[in-house]
Amino acid sequence: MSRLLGLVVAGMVMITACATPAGQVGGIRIENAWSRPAAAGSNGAVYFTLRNSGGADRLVAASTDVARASEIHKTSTEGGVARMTHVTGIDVPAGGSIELKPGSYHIMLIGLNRELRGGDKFSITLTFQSGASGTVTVEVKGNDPPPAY
Amino acid sequence: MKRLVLLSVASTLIFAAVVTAAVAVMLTTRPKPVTASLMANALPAADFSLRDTEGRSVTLSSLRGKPVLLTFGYTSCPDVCPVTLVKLAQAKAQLGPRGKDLQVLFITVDPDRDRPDVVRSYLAQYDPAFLGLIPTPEELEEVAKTYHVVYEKQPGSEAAGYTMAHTAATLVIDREGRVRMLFWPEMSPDEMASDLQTVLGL
Ligand SMILES: [Cu+2]
Repeated sequence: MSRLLGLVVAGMVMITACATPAGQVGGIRIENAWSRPAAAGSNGAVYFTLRNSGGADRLVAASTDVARASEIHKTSTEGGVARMTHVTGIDVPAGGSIELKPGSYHIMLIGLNRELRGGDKFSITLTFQSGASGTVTVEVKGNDPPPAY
Repeated sequence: MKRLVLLSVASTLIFAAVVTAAVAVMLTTRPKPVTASLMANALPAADFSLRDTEGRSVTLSSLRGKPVLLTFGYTSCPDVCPVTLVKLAQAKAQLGPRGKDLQVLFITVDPDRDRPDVVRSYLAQYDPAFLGLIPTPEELEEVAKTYHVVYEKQPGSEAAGYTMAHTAATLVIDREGRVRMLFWPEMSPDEMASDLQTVLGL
């Protein structure tokens, strides 16, 4: 029972967390865009969920003012060894959703122009293969409590 | 008569209290399932001596008496390393005073790029007590081989330069200097804290 209540509360927290950093690009909704604290000059990562109510599309680029370059990356772990690779895009199936999350797909921010602190917000522009493009707000989540893996 | 009733009520209450206490002890002493990868034979952790971010030489054996969490990573890693470090910090915080003498050691697998001051401020984001160790390329090769840790430069884009593939485990070493278990980035801080209590008796 208390577990059920916990789930309901967690769901409510998630809904409120999603409310601000969200956007719509064509048929694709971008939800819960977040990042971690990171020092100026270092690298960062941006995560979000893409929900597609339209036809199949593919995320092909990301850009933001806070970093020298942004790339689409995927972390994969095999035999306990984590490896990051630069990928050309992420397919977003028709009517499907894709979550960018730690240990998986992420937008890698290379060479941060400024420090990212918990509570900061910055914008990121996402471009899809269809040509659709849009800007969403990314929220920097503090390290306490740690975001879900 | 009244006194007799009172006595029996009192003894019933005492009996109930004793039973409750016994059940509580049973519940807390029953071994909890462990999430970490347990090492079947707790082998002594091989000693090493490496420079920390302050230029001091740190020897693993000099930390005997403290539980040590030994992890490998690099500061330009934005995805997996922060997950590990933030969870180790959280697990340590959850243990409160029992986690106080827990020492986290972070060995960089990217000594070519990771300067001491960068490693220091990187770790301070998670817990200023985390100790960063910066091996020479030769020392890294040796310590990685000893602990069966894999690291490998991966070519990246022009912007990113190379990235490092590396073993994402954290070795948990007990106060007697034996490797007892491995933590993985998928584990939650709660699971880490619970395993440290169950296996290391924190
Ligand atoms: Cu990356």
